Order: sequence, then structure tokens, then C-alpha cells
Amino acid sequence: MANIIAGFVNVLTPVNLLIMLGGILAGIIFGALPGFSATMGVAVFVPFSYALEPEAALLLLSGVYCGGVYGGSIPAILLGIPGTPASAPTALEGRSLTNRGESGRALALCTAASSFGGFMSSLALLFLAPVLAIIALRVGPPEQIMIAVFGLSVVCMLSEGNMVKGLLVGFVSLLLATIGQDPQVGFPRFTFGNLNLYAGVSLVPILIGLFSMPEVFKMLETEGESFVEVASTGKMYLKVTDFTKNKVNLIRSTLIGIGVGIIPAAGPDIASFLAYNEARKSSQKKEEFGNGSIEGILASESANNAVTGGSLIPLLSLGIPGSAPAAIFLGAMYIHGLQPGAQLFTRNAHIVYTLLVGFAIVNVLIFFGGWIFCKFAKYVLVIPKSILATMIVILASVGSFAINKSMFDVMQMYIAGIVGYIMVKNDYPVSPVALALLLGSMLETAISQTVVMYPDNIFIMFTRPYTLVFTALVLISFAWPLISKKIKEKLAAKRSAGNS
Amino acid sequence: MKSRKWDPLICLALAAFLLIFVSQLGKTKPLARVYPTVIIICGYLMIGLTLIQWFINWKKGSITVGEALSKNRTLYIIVYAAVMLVYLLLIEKIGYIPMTIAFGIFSLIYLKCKNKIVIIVLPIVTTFVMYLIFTHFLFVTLPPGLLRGIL
Repeated sequence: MANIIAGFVNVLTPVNLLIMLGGILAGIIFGALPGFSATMGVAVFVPFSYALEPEAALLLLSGVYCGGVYGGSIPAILLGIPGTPASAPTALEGRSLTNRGESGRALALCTAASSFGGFMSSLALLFLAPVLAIIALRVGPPEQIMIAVFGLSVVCMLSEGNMVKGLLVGFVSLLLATIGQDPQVGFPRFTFGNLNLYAGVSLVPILIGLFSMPEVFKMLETEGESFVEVASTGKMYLKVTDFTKNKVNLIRSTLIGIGVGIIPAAGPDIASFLAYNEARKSSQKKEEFGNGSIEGILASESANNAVTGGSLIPLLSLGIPGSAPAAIFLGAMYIHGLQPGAQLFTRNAHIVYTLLVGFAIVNVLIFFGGWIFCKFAKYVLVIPKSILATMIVILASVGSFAINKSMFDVMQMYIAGIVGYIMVKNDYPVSPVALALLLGSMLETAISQTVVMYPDNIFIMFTRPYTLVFTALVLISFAWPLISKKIKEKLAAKRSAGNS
Repeated sequence: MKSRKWDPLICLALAAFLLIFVSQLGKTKPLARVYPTVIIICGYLMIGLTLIQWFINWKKGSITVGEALSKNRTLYIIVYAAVMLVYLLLIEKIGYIPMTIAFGIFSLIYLKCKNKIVIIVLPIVTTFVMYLIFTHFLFVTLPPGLLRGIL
């Protein structure tokens, strides 16, 4: 409790509040701009967080992350284009409300539900992450191997439909992670005589390049400025009955979001569709779904924002980044010298509790920040791509330089950007790169330590109960693409049955 | 699994990339060699699987071509990427401020920004705002280049 109070005191300083608000607004802009994403926002903002204190840095990135997830719903309502797959149900319902001249009401509902879902998930994060971290206390090198493999098996989940390509990218990235001094004898390896590579490849510049540059190149693919018609934000208002009548729907959807968030890579899109489907099943006004249903918007938005807090639970306690933004978040933690796991909650309690409390405050602030932003959304959504692309290139270049004040890092960002674009164009997933670069060193160290622990027979490690648990999780994760496909097929079948 | 037209070429490039690492294996300490060797073998296995999958899809005639870019568009992107590279290579010698302003103006014109005031004002304002943020708030000295001694 003392840690939570200390977290509150840290968060509620004017500077931190300002940083969170700045992060939220930047995140909303990144989420709202078609083609941009929360991942890109977090990647671009990591360098800005570098000079800040760790607490402030994590609050800034939390703001960008949560703001980005929320922001994706704004074009879904005003343009009818879901910024992310998770906003698809919102687009369906929101666009109908917009066509009836009720875009303001749709945006207000979406903002309130997002804030509610995010806030409840941050409470789950606040209370569940420390509990899970206790398990991390019992984690030794053999368990770390399985945790790293589990994290990497997320590669398969993230690469649904392209599992082999995901694994290929994963292995090549694991090899990239071996560049630098090897963890066993400290001898330079694969450095090609380049002193800049002695410390290994630079993680954050590579992530910035991978997640921002491909979008810039994609903007260049189409000719001219593509202005779209943006609906005006009408009068934004909420009714108390919207929530009193939907409290079960909101709570159920939020719980779905948190649960899905905890499962690595299950993602906000699954949460959003699951919650939307459950809301329709239990609704007494099924005919309104697809025609501007308030229940649908509340379900979809509360669920996809609840994923944010849920996804940080395994990240903070076990170091498993379940999604691309979470992976970049983990990279930022490493930059600030923070190692996820039990020690994070003991040695760096003041930082982690500031983050946990801050995450909740961020989600409250999203309500106010989002409300204000929606009033001006019409002007932001029409920013020409020439300006967006130019700004991103400059931000990414300067940001990559700022981390180590090295032009070599900037070149790594550039190369990663070009490679990332080629990957995107040919259906090679980029997220596995982030996961492999983050977990590669941990995996190699854990393997060498385990070999020392069990010199005669390494398979003895499977007699350890936690190793077995994580092994089971690895197996489940490899089976996940099949399970997920079945779920999606089932949901699609139900949706089409409902529509007909 | 979806296969793309360029998969064989990409696999070839990746195989060559792995080969560079193979050539360096001898220069590493024996103890530090085992783990990367396993990773390289797995990498080659995945390249093999990707190629097999591509071949099966090619036989079935189900290679995804995707949105084909015209030659002009491809050239357009390559030129932009090349100018970006020049910007990054010269930023240290010429300096952050002049290079970023120059790149910003080029980028806006190249990407067909129509507003002339934006073309001039935006790069200048962005460059100086970023400079102020990085030097005064984030304490990162950006390359002064030719302006060394002035800034």
C-alpha cells in the first residue's frame, strides 16, 4: 500500500502530469492518423524518453501507448475507416451514428468506454503484476530458457498465416542479437572489426526504423495528396443511462480485454470482436447492431483498451512482450536500466509503482484529452502525407541519433527501415525482429548457465515444475495459430448469421 | 502460408547473409560458437521450408503478387530513399540545422506539397523546435557541422 501511495505522489507532480498529457495527445494523433499506429508512436517517442527520469519516461510511453490504441477509433467513426483491425466493430457502429449526424455522441461514447476499459485494466495491472512477479522469484536459468522460447514462440502467434516466415525472421534476428561480446567469455563476436558493434546492434534505432520508415515508404506508393472527406464532430454528449443500462456489458467486455491482453499476441482485435460478439448475443436490441448500436461501441472500445493494461502484466512480471508496442516498451525499460521480473518490484519499486499508478491516471486523462482532441480531429485527420512523411523521417533520424549520439545508430535505423519496407511488402512480419533482439541475449545466457547447472544431462531441467509450466505454455503458443483461426472462423460465422 | 513473387530472391539474400556469419564462426572462441551455429542451422532450415512452400504454391499457381508498383513509382521511392541516405550521411559534416532544413524543403516539394509557405516555414520551424528540445531539454548536442562555433 505504501508503494501505491508513493506511486500516487510521484505521478501527481505537475511535470509528470504534463508529460502524461503530452504523451496521450501525441499517442492519439499517431493512432488517429490513417496508416500510423500506436507501435510507431511508441517507437518514435522512445528517444524522447531517454533524457527523462525512468518514471517520467515510462509515463510518457504509457501515454503514447494508451493514447495510440484509443486514437485508432477516431477515424473509424469520422472516416468510417478503422485505424486498426480492433476498431472495425467501432467503425461499423460509429459510421452509422455519424451518418445520422450523431458523430459527437459516437465519439463521446467511444472516449468514455476506452477510458473505462483502460482504467479497469490498469487496476488489474496494479494488483496482478506484483502477484505474478512472485512466481518470477522462483525462476532460474532453465525457466528463463523456456520464458525466452515462450516469448519467441509469440513469433508464431504474431505471424498468423506466415508461421515459417515468422520463424525465419525470428532466427535471423536471433543471429543479429549474437553480434557483440559473447556472454560466456566476453570475446567480440561477429563484429567484423567494427568498434561500433562491440556492444551489439542498437535495439531502439532498429525498432524506430522498422516501425516508422515502412509507413513513410508506403505513403510514397500512391500519387498526390489523398484528402478524404472527414465528417464534422457534432455535439459531444453522454447520457447517464448509456452506462447504467450497460454496466454488465462494460464490465464483461473489460474482463475479456484484460484476459486477452494477458495472453501474448492475442491482441486487441480479438478482444474487440469477442466483446462485440458477446454484447450482441446478450443484447435485447440485436437489430441495432450494425446500425449504430451504443452497446456495440461500448463493448468494442472498452475491450480493446483493456488490452493495454493486460499486455503489461506478463511484460513487467516475466519480461514477455506480447505485442509489438509492448516489445518497444520493454526496450525502453532496458535503456533505463530496468529489468522485468521480481527484482523490478523490490529494487525499483518506486519506479514500477509510479508506472502502475500512472497507467491508471493516463487512462483517466484519456477521457479529457480525447474529448478535447475529438473537437479538433477534423483538422488533424487531413494533414497531408507530404508533411507527415517529412516529419517522421526527421523525427526518426534525430531520435535515433539522440540515444547514443552516434551516426552509426542512425545508419542502423535507415537500414532497418529499408529492410522493414521490403519485409512488409513481401509478407515477412517485422514484430519478431523486436522480440528476438530483446530476448536473444537472455536466451543465450540462460542456456549457458543451464549447461553449467546440469553438465551431464540438460534434460533434467524438465523435472523442475516451473520449467514444465512454461514448456506447456510454449506448446500452447505453437498451437495458438490453429486455435485462433478456429475462433475467428466461429466469430465470422456468427456475425454473418446475425447479419442475415 | 502465403508466398510472394520475390520470396526466392529474399531467401537467397538471407542465405548469403547467414553465410557471412558462417565465415566468421572460425574467428570466435569455441565456447561462443555453439549457440550461433544452432541458430544458423535453424535459419537455413527455415529458408528451405520457405522455398519448399513457395515451390508448392508456385505449382498450384497461388503465388501472391500483391499490388504491383509501376516502374516510375518504384523509382520515385528509390530516389526518396537515396536522398534520405545523403541527408543522413551529410548531417554530421554539414550539420543538423542546414541539412534538416534542406531535406525538409526537398521532401515537401518532392512529395508535392502545394502550399509554398508550408514548404519554407515548416522545415525551418521544425528544425529549430527539435534543436531546442534536444539541446535544452534532452541535453543531446545535435551535430553542429559547418555551424560549429556559431551555435
